[in-house]
Amino acid sequence: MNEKVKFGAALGGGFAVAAGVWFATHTYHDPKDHLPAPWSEATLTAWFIAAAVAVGVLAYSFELTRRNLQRLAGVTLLLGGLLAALGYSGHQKVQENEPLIDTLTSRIERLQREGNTAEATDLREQVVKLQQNPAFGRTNVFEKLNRHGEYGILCIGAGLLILAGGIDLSVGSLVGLAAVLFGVLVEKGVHPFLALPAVLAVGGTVGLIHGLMVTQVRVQAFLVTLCGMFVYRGLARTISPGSPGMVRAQEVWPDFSAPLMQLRQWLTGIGADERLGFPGVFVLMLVLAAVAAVFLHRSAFGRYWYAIGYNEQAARYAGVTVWRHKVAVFAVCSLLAALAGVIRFLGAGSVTPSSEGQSFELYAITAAVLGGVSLKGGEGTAVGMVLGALVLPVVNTLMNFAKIPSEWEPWLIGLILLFGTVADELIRRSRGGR
Amino acid sequence: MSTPLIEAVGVRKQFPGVLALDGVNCRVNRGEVLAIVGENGAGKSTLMKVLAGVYQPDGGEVRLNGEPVKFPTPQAAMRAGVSLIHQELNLAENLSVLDNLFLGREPTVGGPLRLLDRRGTIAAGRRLLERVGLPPDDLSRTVGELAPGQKQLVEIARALGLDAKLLIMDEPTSSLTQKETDRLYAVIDDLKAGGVSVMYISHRLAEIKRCCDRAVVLRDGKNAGELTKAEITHDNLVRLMVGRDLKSFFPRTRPPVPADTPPLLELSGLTYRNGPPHTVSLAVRPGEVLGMAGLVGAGRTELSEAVFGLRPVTGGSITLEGKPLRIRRPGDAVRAGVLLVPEDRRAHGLVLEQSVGFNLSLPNLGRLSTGLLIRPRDEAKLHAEGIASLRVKTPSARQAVGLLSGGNQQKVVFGKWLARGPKVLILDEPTRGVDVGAKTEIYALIDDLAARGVAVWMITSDMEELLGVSDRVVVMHEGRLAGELARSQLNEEAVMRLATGAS
Repeated sequence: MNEKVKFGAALGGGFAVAAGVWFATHTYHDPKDHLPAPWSEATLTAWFIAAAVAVGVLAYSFELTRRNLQRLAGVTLLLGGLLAALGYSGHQKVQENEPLIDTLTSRIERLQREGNTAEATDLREQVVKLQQNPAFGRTNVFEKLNRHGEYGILCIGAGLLILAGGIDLSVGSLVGLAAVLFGVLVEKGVHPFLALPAVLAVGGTVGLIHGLMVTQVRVQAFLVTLCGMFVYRGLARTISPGSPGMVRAQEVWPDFSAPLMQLRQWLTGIGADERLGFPGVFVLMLVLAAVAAVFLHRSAFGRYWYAIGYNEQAARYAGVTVWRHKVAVFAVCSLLAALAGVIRFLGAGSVTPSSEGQSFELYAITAAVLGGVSLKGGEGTAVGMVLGALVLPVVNTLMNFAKIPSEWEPWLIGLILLFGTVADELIRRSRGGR
Repeated sequence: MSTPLIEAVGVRKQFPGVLALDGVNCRVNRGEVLAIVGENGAGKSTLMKVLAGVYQPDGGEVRLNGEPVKFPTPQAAMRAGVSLIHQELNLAENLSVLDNLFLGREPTVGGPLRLLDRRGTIAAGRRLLERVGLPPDDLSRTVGELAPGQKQLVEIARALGLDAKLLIMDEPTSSLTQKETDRLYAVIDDLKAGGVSVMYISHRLAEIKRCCDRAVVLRDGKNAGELTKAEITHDNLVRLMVGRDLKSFFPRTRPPVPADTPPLLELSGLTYRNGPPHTVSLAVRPGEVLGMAGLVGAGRTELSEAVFGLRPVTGGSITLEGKPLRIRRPGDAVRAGVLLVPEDRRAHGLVLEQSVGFNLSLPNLGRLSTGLLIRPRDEAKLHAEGIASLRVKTPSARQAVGLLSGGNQQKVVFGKWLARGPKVLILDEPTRGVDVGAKTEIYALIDDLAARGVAVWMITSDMEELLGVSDRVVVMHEGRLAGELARSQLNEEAVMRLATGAS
């Protein structure tokens, strides 16, 4: 396809999506619930533009090969099915409310006959709310998008690493360590704007160490990061036996309360009124994915990573300094895990050192594989990672709405992953490949 | 004429998109050694696999002793006495020779207990090793520690243990040393005398002349002709294989390089980590093809890898265009214009799963990028030029390079480097596993590069190639330079004498 046509379509698509979101957020909320104070129109506009540009860049960078499209088609079908199921279960909720709606409607009519318009309007708003499909209600969608953002950030890191032939099992523990470390730092009075880069630097350094252990000492990545998994969890529990929390930090250091709130609003979209005004993590993830897409599909770096993932020796014989690239992707993976940790802390307000981020490394790997990243290395796309990361939050929401017991979640996820990989393998074989 | 042992009559085999065999006829008599010859993709391997039950023919039939047979699996063929010996040997490297010989059919005693009959197995194993000329002590050795030639013999012994009447060998000598190859020939002669038939695929024409009674030539999945032992000559084979006369198999258009030309690349007293205790010094002049001969294990590949930065240099110096060159990693060599076409194309030369274009671009991405971004138009131009100038047969630049034939794969490896404008090109076995047609094209390319002033250093074990292409030859023996031969002194005996260490 003509590059220009593709570029236009991608950009147009990005803006269309952003416009859609804009429209939704500005018309779909409760009339009483006007934009809370920190959400100026300018802030929201900035978010929308960031999201639109990110979507455009993602689409533009995507490499239109048959294999890539096939992989995307798979995860899109899966997501479509899940979303349809979600919509159906939400729809059933609305139907359950039907008698109540009827009662309310007749009351509204009575009130109107009596001339009590104010009360009638109030009730009508309630009816409108009841008639809306709760699965696609604003608060729910925003929360799930933010969850998607967290998984997505981890999945981009893990995906890039797997693609370049590595693996990282320490992601979950590192999320925990970063969250706890950030909490401890702000409780100790470090300015939040300083604590963030400090935590990210720790994450990056951890990744560098992983990379150097793998490339220079030649320990298997699986082993290095398995050890890391224990070490970082232990460190998190050591530096903070209790749970660090935002409220305590704000009490002890009232001066830093405002910047902390500011940081939280920018990274997660939670305003000073503790309400989620916008899916900030989601947009941040989109922007990171767009950056990853440019590196992966439009720059020499991505080519080298694919080559290393498929055949490290061939890359080496082509003059690529393999170890530097491997160290770099290990660092990126850990850096993003640290970022996700900070976001978890800001989003939740307090974290438990012993459990924060537990088994996130497996979620990240699952998301990457569902999105078409091959565990053998050398295959995968940025768009795929974004879509793959969406599967788990959607499954989770579906479980809530369809009243499926949460005990079912692990085995459902396992079966979905198994089904996805088997289907992918069968498609590959049917094409006559080896 | 007596009934042939095995016969293929009008065999057809269709693969998605390719008609691999189109009505091929072929028969093997008892105690006969038959060569199957053809370019890559001519259908040789497919024919062998049909006879050995790996593939089922889509048309025609296979007759054993005149009776039509169907081998649904390779095991069925083996029971009927037809054994295939693969190009990549199928031995369990971690087990002993004895265990491999009887893998899957271990003689047992004790009825339902199925205890291993250790003593009987050892006796039977010794008899088998004796037939292929291996010492009985080898029985307890682990296969992994054997040389490639010995592994091949073990595989033959295993087939003999299954009472094979026909052995099918797919390029059995491609990874063997000269000595091992001679040993294999002797074993084949013995088998033949014992009434066993052998079917033999090879790219080495001299070898076919040495040990085969008859040659069947395939071209594009059809019979192209047949030659009796007396008719087997280089010219006849090549004519049938490519369907035309190859006027100049080794084109030479370049002018001779004067002896006083200053060298482009010079190694003096070079040693490298884990290398031999000797130093190596040699020089390659611009516009010349320096051939490097030697037995397998003489340290030729290792030396080239040290120069290319794959092995750390520990002593001596490398000089390029009179200036000292420090190479710590392949990237340094690539930037300096010292480029290597590696011996193992599939493992080192190419990312097989990726496209032709991906591979052509890989070492040129720096030049194709502005800042972070690759310029798609310039990249497409590079792909088009590379494919056109090397005449790579591929549907498009997006085709996975692993799906191309060996010759076209090798052209892509060359194409990677040509786009960079090489100063020194190190070729390690440049035509291994490449069919005859593509070989000539590669020779023409080498000639053209040298004519344009590239210094070519060609490592090869193919004697014809060495004698036909080189302007000058150096011979290595056990890690040191055993001697140098000018073009006027070049002949097979002189090379072999130096390579085997005779003074």
